[in-house]
Amino acid sequence: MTSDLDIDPVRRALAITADEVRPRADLADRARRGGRRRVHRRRTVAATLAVLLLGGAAGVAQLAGPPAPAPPAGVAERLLDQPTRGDLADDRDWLARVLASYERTRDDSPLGGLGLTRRPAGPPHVTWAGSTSAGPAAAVVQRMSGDGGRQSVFIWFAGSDAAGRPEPVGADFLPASDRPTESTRAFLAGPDRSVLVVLDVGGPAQWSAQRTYLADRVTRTDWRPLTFADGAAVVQVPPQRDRYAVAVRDASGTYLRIGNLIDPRVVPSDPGLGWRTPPGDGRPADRAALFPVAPHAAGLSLDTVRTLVGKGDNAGEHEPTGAATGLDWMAYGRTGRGELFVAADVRFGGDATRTVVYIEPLTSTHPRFGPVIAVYGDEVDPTAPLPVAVRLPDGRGWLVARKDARLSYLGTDGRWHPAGRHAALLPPTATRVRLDSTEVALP
Amino acid sequence: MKTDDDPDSFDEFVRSRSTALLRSAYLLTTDRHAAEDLLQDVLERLYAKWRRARAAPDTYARKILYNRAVDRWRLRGRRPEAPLGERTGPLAVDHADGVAVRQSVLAALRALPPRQRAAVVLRYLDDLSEAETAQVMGCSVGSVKSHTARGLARLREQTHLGPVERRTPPLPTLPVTHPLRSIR
Repeated sequence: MTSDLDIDPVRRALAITADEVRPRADLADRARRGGRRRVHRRRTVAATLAVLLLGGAAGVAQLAGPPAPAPPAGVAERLLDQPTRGDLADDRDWLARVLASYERTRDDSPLGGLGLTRRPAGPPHVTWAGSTSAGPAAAVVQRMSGDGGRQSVFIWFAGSDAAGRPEPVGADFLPASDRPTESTRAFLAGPDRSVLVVLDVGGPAQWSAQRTYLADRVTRTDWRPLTFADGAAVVQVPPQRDRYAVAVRDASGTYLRIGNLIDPRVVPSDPGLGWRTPPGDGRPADRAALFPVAPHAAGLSLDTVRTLVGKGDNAGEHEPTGAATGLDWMAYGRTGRGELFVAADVRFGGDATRTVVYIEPLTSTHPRFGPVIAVYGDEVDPTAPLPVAVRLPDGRGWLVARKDARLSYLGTDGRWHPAGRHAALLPPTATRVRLDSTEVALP
Repeated sequence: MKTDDDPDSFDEFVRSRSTALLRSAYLLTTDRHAAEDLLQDVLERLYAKWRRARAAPDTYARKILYNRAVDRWRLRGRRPEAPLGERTGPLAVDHADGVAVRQSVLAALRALPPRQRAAVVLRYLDDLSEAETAQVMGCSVGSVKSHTARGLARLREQTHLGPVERRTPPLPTLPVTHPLRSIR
């Protein structure tokens, strides 16, 4: 029989793999439009069939037939069709070297490894070639044929190495026709990845250097406009070597993919609190520490807790790199009002580890979707006596945690009350916490 | 005229569930753009049935997602989504990174028969119970167990994901460099 622990690596590998996709901001609009078309079509077909049944069956065959493969359009078409832009557009030597590098390394890209670049359906085209403070750079696009005649457009980005030679820095596929906005049309260049190049496909765009952590959400407040000139906007951004914080969005608010935001040679590593439970007790792997919070956690299943984590992660703004939640630890239980809550470590793209608490309001009627109250704590300090102390809203109390510590709190009656081990939900009136023999004032 | 339109609840459903559904679609199709196409197709169909579906939209959506994925596999004559080539085995260690983990998992999923792939995704990404998985796949719980066990065994074999025999270091922040061996 397979235990939960045995399949934890599988769960994590699947989650890591699936984490790279994010839905478009206008998905609901497009689904609604398409849904209305389907309803209309269904009614039209029903009416037509009724007419045909009354008048004979001639012509029914004309209703059927497979749709033709949709060619890529929108952003991809613009990048393919326009002449090379940028201040190096007439530098034949640079263009030739870029194309030579492209031909040599095209299949080395992660996407090439999936066999998606093996069937070119047109010549490569340098859509932009320009100077940056980190040296010359370029973007190449090429049509590719996929299975079933499906067409897509491969986009490949190059910076330059120390000797000034073209150096591949990232690649992606541009989406098909009905997705005019979301696409990879930006990349980072330079040895410390501090030059952001965003290709101009019409319409304004903005960039942001960092996330802002508010008490109830993770957002961005530093959006600034990109100024396009000669086919691209080139801006200096904070180095993205040990963190992935920069973001680009278009006028609709849709995040644009940055072709090489993730650098496989760099591990942004914040050790967090290091509370994972080591192997032992017949369990072969370490895993996130689990702290059921008395007195209401006993009846909760781990599936329920994980579902709430997913629900909370999906409810916020859609950061391009997503959140990693609950890798080190999770504490869970019910508030005094009976609401399910889970507290966990959370990290975004190399930012410092924080604590997040997700609370499912009692009015939420569905376990997998619906409103979630999120509360973000400050950056955690593993050396602090009490590294996790988050005040929950509306008098729900304090969520405190320290692995292995025996907890108690000072009540309004002036007495110390035991609060269990590892993690606890304290009353809002608690002012001091004792962790074994160490006493700490709540902030 | 009465319509199926109910923008508020439908939008709320899409807002809250589209990420999870897209992630499932991605692992079912192993292709980002195909997953986006599949999800839009699913949501359009869901919208057209919203009056009935809104009582249990997640179940409806997952059933449609699974059925459309199966239709897609049938249409493609059970061929793999993309050539597997050398990527079905473990990747070169000196290029091991987050991309490699994803590629390895995607390649391994592609190598699974469709129902095994679906069972693994529904059970271990979507965290559905065996009974819920059986309901979505329209088969018995016994079949789910069988598909899951076989799929899991093949997935492990392809990706070297376990059984785990040594300490697993904590995963770094996503998305980051994930040496393949770090999640064994």
